[in-house]
Amino acid sequence: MAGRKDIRGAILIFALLMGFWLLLSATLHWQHLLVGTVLSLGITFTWSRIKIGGGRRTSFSLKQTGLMLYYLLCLIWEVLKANIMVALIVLNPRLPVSPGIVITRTALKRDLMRALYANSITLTPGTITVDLEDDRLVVHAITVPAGHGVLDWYLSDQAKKIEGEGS
Amino acid sequence: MIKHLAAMILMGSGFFFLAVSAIGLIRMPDVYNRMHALGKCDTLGNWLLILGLILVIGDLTSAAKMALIIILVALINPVMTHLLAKTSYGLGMDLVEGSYLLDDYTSPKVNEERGEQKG
Repeated sequence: MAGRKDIRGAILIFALLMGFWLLLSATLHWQHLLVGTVLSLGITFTWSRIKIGGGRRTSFSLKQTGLMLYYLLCLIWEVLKANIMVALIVLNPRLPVSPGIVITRTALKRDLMRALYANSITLTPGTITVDLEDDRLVVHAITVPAGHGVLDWYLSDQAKKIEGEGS
Repeated sequence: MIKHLAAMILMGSGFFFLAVSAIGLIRMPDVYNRMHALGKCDTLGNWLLILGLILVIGDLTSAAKMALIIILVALINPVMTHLLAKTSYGLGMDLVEGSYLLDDYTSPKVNEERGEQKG
């Protein structure tokens, strides 16, 4: 059952956990090292028996990682815009809200990308995800333009591109 | 000196957005609108505050821990906002007077696209 690839993966996970432990503890005292090694081995051993999402291997290509970084940068910019917009609405004495519900469908197939996209919608201008079932996406928008913006949002295409690279 | 100034600006704007989220919680008319103020402004407020703290402290270990907090806030905040909104939606909480409904799920635009694929 334990093939060569699994051992390589286990060593990688162990190295990642150990590096993280060293980053957090920031000493090379032998007691710290001992505790870190024991915990990392334990977690690696437990992790090797867990299968997530029907046993499909999650693969990452270099191009996918680049697209993901670009997606996150776009997301941070959108978060900044969203906050300024909400601040302008909240601090306006007339409180110019025109809220509503938008029901739309998402073109994304993988559960992970759907979850990422739904959380992106929550963080970005004037919209929060209320419900996500299969490809039916219920979104609450704080103004009319924000509600229409959900229907053809450019980050959706970006997420689709990342998904396309993965399969 | 300039580092402290930058940290001050970052933390000041962080406090501003946290204050906006608190004011929004009081002023907004219904549950879903309140979620807007909380879900967004809390996230950016915390990010800016922690970035300012990283600049002030400037120690790699503490910076790593605070970067971890930034990532955790970015993950947890939208999920909790979504959960609260979903629960209120499931309980049938009323929307504020004059809300609109836009249903794109069964709209002609999508049906047209399907027709093109068939033909």
